[in-house]
Amino acid sequence: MTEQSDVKRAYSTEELLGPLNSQELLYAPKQLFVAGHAEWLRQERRVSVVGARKASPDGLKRAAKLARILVKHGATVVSGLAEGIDAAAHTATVDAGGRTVAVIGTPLSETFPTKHRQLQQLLMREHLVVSQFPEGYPTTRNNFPLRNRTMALVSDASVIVEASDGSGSLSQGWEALRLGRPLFLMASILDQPGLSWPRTLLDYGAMVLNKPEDLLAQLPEPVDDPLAVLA
Amino acid sequence: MQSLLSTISCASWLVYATRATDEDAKRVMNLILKIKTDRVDAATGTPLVRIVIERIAAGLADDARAVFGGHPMLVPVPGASLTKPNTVWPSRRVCEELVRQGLGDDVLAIVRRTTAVSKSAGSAARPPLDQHVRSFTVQPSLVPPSRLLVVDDVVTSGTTMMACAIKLAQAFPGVPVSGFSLARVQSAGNPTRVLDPIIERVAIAGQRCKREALT
Repeated sequence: MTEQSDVKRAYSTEELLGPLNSQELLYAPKQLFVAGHAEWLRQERRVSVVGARKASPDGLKRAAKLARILVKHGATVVSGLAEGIDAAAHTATVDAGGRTVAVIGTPLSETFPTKHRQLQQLLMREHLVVSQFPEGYPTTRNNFPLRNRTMALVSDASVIVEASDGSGSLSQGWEALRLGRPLFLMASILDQPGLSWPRTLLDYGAMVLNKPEDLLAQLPEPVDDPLAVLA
Repeated sequence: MQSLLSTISCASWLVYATRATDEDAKRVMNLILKIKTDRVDAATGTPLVRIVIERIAAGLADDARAVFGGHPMLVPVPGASLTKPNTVWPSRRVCEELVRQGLGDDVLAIVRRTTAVSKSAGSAARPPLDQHVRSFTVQPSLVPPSRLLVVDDVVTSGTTMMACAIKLAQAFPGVPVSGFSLARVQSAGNPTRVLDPIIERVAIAGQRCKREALT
């Protein structure tokens, strides 16, 4: 499971993402370890597509469809390399010829779940894999909520496709809201009976994703020197 | 609804044209979306909201500057949602940067949401004025204000701003209340100018408000 790669590099988080505001700095890791196209983290329109590990077939289809739409509109798809929704989002992005970033809960030389080792290696070679955990750092359950916060930090917006009460995706949702970044819940989530978390997140600023245009409208469209308008 | 106010004046500086195709309008959209999340300019390490307010304030005509006369306390408009501590609050950041430029005496963050309302922008079911008013509470101020300026990052119809002004007028009878927004929404076409400081009027029209030109 452990291996060394010569493409891995460590950066301070601000070196990688650019200068951060005080709220962003509150939970930002000091360092990030990356393999692949680190420069993508300085380019605009990154969207997290996240959700349940034990996803429904419809959830997997929705994640893949959303990833393809994002690729079509030039956005980079961010996810967590987990089973289920995350893997569907990464794979659909790769298949559509887009760019994807995996923010993982292990050091770069390890993979969780191990069955995604090949996918991780592909992303390290041709896309981007980011970890806040140095080599040798133990992989425990505690890593994943920290990873989810970091995923919110590197994303301009986040979409939860499907999640149960207590899902790790919710910690990403809360962090996105704290940072003032758009958080969308796939409309189909509201049709699932017995879930308490959607109402709470909606009260705190999450939005329902009825159509992709709603999400795209919240993403800063890349322009040359926006401050030129004030000259 | 019994209200102490039926209109307030509302100054704004930038035009936020949501369907524009013009490059300058896209620049404003890009800036506003980043200001909403308090992004920092990569080239200078300075918050974008500071750069924008500093640059516009430097070239502000006397009549546009007069909006901030009379030592107003700046009251940030809360977002549509409930918030937890340490959450980015864009209108508060606008207030802080205005005060930094000498435009306003201090920030008085005393209006809070106690119940969430649906988000105005892009929402088909915009909350009515009454619902906005009911969703706000005003916390006591240690210093009695002599003038209040309700501040938002973007104003659309002005309904949220008016609801905030109504609550303040109830809490501080006799204290003049007006509004300011960094940008105003123009929902159709390309604007003639995107940097265009003007003063409009926000008027109650049933359960909504509308922005009108001053005659």
